Amino acid sequence: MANTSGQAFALMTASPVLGGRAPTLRTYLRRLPTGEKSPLARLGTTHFARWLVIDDLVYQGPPQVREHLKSSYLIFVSNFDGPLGSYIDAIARLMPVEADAIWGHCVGYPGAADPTAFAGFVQRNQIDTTFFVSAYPDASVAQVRESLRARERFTNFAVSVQGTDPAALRRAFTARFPVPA
Amino acid sequence: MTRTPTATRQRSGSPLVPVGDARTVAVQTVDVRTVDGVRAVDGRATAITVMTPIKPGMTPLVRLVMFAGEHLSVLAEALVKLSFIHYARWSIVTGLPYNGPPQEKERLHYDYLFFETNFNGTWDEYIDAFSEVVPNRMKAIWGTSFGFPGPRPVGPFKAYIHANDLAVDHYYGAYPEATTKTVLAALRLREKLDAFRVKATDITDPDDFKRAYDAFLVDIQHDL
Repeated sequence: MANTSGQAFALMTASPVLGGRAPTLRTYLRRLPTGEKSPLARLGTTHFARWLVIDDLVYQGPPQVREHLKSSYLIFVSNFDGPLGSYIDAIARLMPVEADAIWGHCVGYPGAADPTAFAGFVQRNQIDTTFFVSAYPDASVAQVRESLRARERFTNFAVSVQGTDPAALRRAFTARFPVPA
Repeated sequence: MTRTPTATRQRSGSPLVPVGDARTVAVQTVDVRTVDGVRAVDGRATAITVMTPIKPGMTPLVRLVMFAGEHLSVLAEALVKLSFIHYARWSIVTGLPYNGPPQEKERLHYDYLFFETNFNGTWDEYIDAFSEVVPNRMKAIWGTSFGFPGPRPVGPFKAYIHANDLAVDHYYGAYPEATTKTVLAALRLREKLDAFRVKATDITDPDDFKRAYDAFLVDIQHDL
């Protein structure tokens, strides 16, 4: 199944938006806080994710025959630490208010209060991934963050001990970087 | 090693941006609707989302190209060369989900190729890189979509991607200030550091420790 690479999972869902609701949904999404305050940050396992509302398909010109969508669609794309079931569960558990505010504009949305129904809705709207690549497929979000922190800490340390005598260096290192748990 | 604090903390840029270049991608609080309405950013991470119609009968060919990509190291190597991509994926969309009334069932005339990517650097640098580094791969993947002008010259290729780039309404990255190179360097460094921490406990003589520490610094110099 091409939905995974290493321990990472590529999810895509497309949900039909109720008539006339696309502008409201779009506005809500655009006003969501970003960065650490994004509701997705609460999940802790999301590397990169996005929501987009599409109203129609892009026409390429002849010889393509122009076609139009009958509904707007809410597309959710996420690259996260698997497995899928835990992730969907986490959305319902950790961001139920936002999930309802977003997918509540979609046809057939059961609400996040019932995790089983929510999972069913997500999976019914899932579109399989054909090809998925990551530069670091085996690293979880936690591992990436810990590694970035360790790199910064060690860089600061290395700079601070330049010119120190060997005994002091050894003491400083073993104090700052004891054996990992 | 006599680097200054500033030098050791300098972020590694993408292969196309000289280190020390003053350009930055964006600040975190920017509205995702930027100047032309489609470019989404979070910190240094940039998003592109594209969906193009596949020419009739060509879907199996696209699947084959993707299947081959998954199983051949050649593509993996090419993508590693484009070392500013965090995550990317392609999905062949053969239909859109039906959730029942009042939704009208969608009957798509074509299959669509959906592409989503997360990278660091600017939108232009990204397309430039694909055009320069993996043009044959681009032709193989998008050559079966209507309207694809070819990967070179890059002007029409950029116009094509831009025309098909879908506006993102919310974009999130878990470590938005880190480039892909930085993430890879940090993962490598942490692994080596953990190993050295274990080793260090067995080295009680200070001069022996200093030698081991200096050797460790040489080992990780490219990861700092």
